[in-house]
Amino acid sequence: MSVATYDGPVEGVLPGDNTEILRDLLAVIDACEDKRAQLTKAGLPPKPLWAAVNARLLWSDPRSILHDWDEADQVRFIYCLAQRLRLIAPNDERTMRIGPGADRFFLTTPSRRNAMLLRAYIDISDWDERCDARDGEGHRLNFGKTFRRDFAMDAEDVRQELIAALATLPVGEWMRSDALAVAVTERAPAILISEEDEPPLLEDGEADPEIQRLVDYWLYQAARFGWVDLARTPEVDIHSSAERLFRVNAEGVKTLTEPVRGNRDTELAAALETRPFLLQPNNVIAYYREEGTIGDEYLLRRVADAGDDFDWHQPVITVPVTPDSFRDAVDVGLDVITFESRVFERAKKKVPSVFKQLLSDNQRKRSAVSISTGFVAVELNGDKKVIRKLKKADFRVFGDVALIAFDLWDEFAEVLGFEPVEGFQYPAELPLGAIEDGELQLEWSALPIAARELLEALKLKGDPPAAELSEESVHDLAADGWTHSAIAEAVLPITGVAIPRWLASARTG
Amino acid sequence: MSDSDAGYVAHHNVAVISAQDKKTLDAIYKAAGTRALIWKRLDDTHAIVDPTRVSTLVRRLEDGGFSPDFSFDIL
Repeated sequence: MSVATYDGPVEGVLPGDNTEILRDLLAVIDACEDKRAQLTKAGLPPKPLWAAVNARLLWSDPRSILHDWDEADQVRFIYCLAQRLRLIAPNDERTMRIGPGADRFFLTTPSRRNAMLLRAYIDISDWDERCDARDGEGHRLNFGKTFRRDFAMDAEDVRQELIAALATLPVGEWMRSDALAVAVTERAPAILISEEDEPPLLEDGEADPEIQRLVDYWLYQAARFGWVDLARTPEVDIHSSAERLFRVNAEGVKTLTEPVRGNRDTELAAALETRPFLLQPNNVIAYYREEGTIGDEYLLRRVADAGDDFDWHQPVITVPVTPDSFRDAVDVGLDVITFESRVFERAKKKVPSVFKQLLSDNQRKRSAVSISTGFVAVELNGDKKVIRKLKKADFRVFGDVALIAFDLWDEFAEVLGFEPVEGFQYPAELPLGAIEDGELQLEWSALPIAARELLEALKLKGDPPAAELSEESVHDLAADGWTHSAIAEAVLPITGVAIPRWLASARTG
Repeated sequence: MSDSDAGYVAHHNVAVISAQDKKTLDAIYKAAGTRALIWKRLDDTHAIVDPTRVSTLVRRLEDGGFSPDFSFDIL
């Protein structure tokens, strides 16, 4: 396909950059930590939480549409993205708090973070740009005429097609938006229609007008992820989208087209060379933004005393850190040693004794027990060759199980040569099994790793597997620690709350 | 969950408990309050635990006399 590039004068260049999105993701974590709100029974954030997210966004939704979760386009988009990245997650009491992916995302290298962002964006399923996107005044954009549940293609596939079309275009050349619209029309003519409809008949090289509208909108999205730069021609009104210019951003497009390379150490070391922190004896940390990274900003927010001003316009911010605020961060997963190496060891001047005391009061006891979050466990089917390969690449493998930190998933897939697609998400959206007629019946052939030891002790049989689960059948398991109460708790991640009365009473007892 | 014939099974979002020695993890296994939250033992000192009930696990470990903390890397 030959693409018409634009060689004329260009105005109003907006370089592609994902800084805004990263800041908005921090805003979602801040809102969750500030509100500590319980999710509704439907699993949605309550209104005060989404209002708190909205208040912190760089491009807030208009107040007039905040009455309905389905209407709140910007809030819902960034909230869903944060959820996919597991930056936020419900705790045991269904309260939305900082999640196991936050450290993995904000403390990793920029290229890995970009890869995580791309993957999470593609995977968002509770927000769809075709029917949820709104213009700057809060009016729904509605691309195509299809009702959201009737689209022939999933939102995930639509994003894959848009990104794949973008990756076919020349890098660094200005083009009118119709270049991308034509590419998308040719690749995926059905992205805006229902299964019953036929794509419109078009001449070769002609863009579907509805796809053109979608592309005009989506280019803004792509610029926010750093994949394209935007501009306009001098003679065009700023609001006229048909003449929008864009060029594929040379750096940004690497995320779309190149695998994450094994430059983890050098990239991280470069990011940590600066000294952006000044720790003061009055329990205040001054942070010099120009010298720091988004990971520094994230760490500082984790330990800050609540209610501090994080105005993005300030080049230097001062943040009080109290023993309570530090302890709160430790209680929800802060690794003290990571904090020490990222903040204390990058201080401009000597660390005052009040901060050293904070650290020693919360210091890890090496002789005890540690918990680490944010991993994917992959069962390798006894493949010894792959196990050797993974160990050689410094991945942690225990017997047949590889433990992959969230931010290393792409590199893991690269070493493996493919991405394992069979698997489970925890918590599961739908029950992984049910207890019926005195049997625990699993939904899928593959065993979840949730409650695996109990599942194995129950001696499952069949496909999908099932096992008797009665007071009699579990009698012998008590010797191995499987009391009724323990069984009731263990099966919860499998069945949700549907457990028989004899187990339920044990659970409450 | 999705089906394929790849043979490998990926379990997205798990937490890991690391103990200083086998005796410590054995003791955690034996405690009724923590047994249910341990999904799969990996070796003498490591096990996969329920990522959605980490705060419960921490509370129960503390009740059992352990002093758990969080580590970015698996120890």
